[in-house]
Amino acid sequence: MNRRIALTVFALVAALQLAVPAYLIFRYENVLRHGTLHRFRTRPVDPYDAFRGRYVRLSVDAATTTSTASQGLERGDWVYATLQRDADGFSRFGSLATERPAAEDYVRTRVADAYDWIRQPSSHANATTTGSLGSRDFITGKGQTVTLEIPFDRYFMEEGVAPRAERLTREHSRRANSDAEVWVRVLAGDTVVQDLVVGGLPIREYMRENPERKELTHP
Amino acid sequence: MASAPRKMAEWFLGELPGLEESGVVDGEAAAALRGHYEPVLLAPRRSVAMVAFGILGGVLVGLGIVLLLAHNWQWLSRPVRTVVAFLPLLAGVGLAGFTVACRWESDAWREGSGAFLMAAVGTSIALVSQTYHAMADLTGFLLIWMLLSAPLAYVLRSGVVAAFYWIGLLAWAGEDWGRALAFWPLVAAMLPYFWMAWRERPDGVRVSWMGWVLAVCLSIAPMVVRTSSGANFAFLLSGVLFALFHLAAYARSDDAPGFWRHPFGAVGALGMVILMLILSFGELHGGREWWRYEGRLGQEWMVHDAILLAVLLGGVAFCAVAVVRQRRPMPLVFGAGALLVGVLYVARDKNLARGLCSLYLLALGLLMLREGVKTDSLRRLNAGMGILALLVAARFFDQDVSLAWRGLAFIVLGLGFLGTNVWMLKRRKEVAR
Repeated sequence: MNRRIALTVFALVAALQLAVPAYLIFRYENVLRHGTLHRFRTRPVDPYDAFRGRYVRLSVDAATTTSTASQGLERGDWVYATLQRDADGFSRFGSLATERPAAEDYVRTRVADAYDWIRQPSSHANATTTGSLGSRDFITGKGQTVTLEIPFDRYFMEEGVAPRAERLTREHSRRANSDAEVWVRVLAGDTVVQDLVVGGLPIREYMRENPERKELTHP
Repeated sequence: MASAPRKMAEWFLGELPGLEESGVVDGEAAAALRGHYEPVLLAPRRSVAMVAFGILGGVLVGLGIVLLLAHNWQWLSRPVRTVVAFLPLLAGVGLAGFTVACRWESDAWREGSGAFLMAAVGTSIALVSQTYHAMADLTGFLLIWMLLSAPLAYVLRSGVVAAFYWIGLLAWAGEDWGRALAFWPLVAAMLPYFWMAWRERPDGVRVSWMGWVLAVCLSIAPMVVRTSSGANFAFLLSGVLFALFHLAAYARSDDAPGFWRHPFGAVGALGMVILMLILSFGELHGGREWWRYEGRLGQEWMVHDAILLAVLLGGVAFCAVAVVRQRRPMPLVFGAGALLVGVLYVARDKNLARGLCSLYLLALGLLMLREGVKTDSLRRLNAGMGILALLVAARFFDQDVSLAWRGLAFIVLGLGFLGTNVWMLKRRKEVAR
């Protein structure tokens, strides 16, 4: 390749390399501005992403759902999961589809695990056989229990404060005190995390208003 | 101008005065030889150290920026952070553009700026996803990063970009749970660059370390990228790949210049030995007929596997013909390993696998020993002994074969070696007499 051709090709490649992050910014801004707000109850873990820094890992209560047996989903399959709100206003994953659904709010994600049984009370009308697996009773009926990968499973924070944020979110995710939520904007299958909310306040605001107390050391 | 390496030309010109003095060559011949080899010394020296420092510098600066920016500058607002996300990319584009415009002939500049820009592309996309807490899925991130970086290998003629591209594709396939249907075509997209680099300098340092990266990545790939027929097909693919590597290494040239400059030959041989050892433990999955696909993947995977296998087998046949023309039997023995794996794939019999693979390794070890003795090559001698030692160890600890049969086999083999020793001693005495 001579230098003139190389310069021309390089200019095209550079334009594409600049265009892709710009397109991503436009897309995510669009979701933040025009997407529907959904609130999810969450439980955290605190890991580290070498490429993108320290983050609070968000484990969402609503990650497990059921599907019909005809879908035969397995780990790694891409699905569209519709979103439904419960009586408290929190969102959960509902039905699963392999084609883009007509529903307004849905998330495009992958199957993390799929089991060929549905956990239901043994008196359920659709029960075919009963059995037990260790301490859990299960019913094999027509369907699968599917755990989904959460596309909004991380909230990036400054590495100095992420561990404390994780501790706070864990404390506020216990059954006796479960007021940790993740607010997500959803638009046409795309998701952007708007905020991590603890005790009714965005996490950074909560941490500012509740500074960490240093332990006193006695001489 | 002679194409001899610089060191050889230096040595020869150093010997020339002595040869002239002792009358081996006359003055006219000496002058002609000087005229032929001196231009090699006058050619600009490619400093490997400069290129290596350029690459390391580019990669370290790029990674340092990734770490600094990953610190999460929370005091910046979102709009400012999105602008900051572009800074490394703008710097990388500027540096690479300057290299193409003004430093086109410098290997160090091209490799360093290529490495830096590749890191900057990844940094930029990662920063955007960090700012919006989006793109949790690493597979999309890796694929976009590799696709955007691939053209840099051709434009900047950068081996570093090509190497990281192959590694990145393997990581992408692994993250995608092996469902990377486009993996092999994407890997092949970089092969024309590798071919051009090889044609430019077949014995060059860049080609050899690119070759090592490619050979190792492709060796791992059958275990990472899913196939329509599961683990058994992966073994078949591995066998064909290792045969292709080894045959391709010997298809053109005579003895390769050293172990480290000969990646495909080394990886092909080592890979074939390890594969045969694994298969000799009966690591085959029985059950359905060999032509049935075992996973729940779509029909497109069967087509993918058929085309992949056909292309690789075509390569093996082409290289085998070239090796036969050179009358070199040893590489063909490794090529025959692919045939053996094919037979075992169809038969799917554990006992047959145990027997045939053990016999293959025995034959291979003995042939390498013989080759080592014939050519007085310590490397081949050691390789042959190593193969036989591994085989002995594998069978000794093979719990699936009864102690009696193992004992019998070892005694017969041991007597065979001792008998051969006695026969060779007798022959040597006869020759000496």
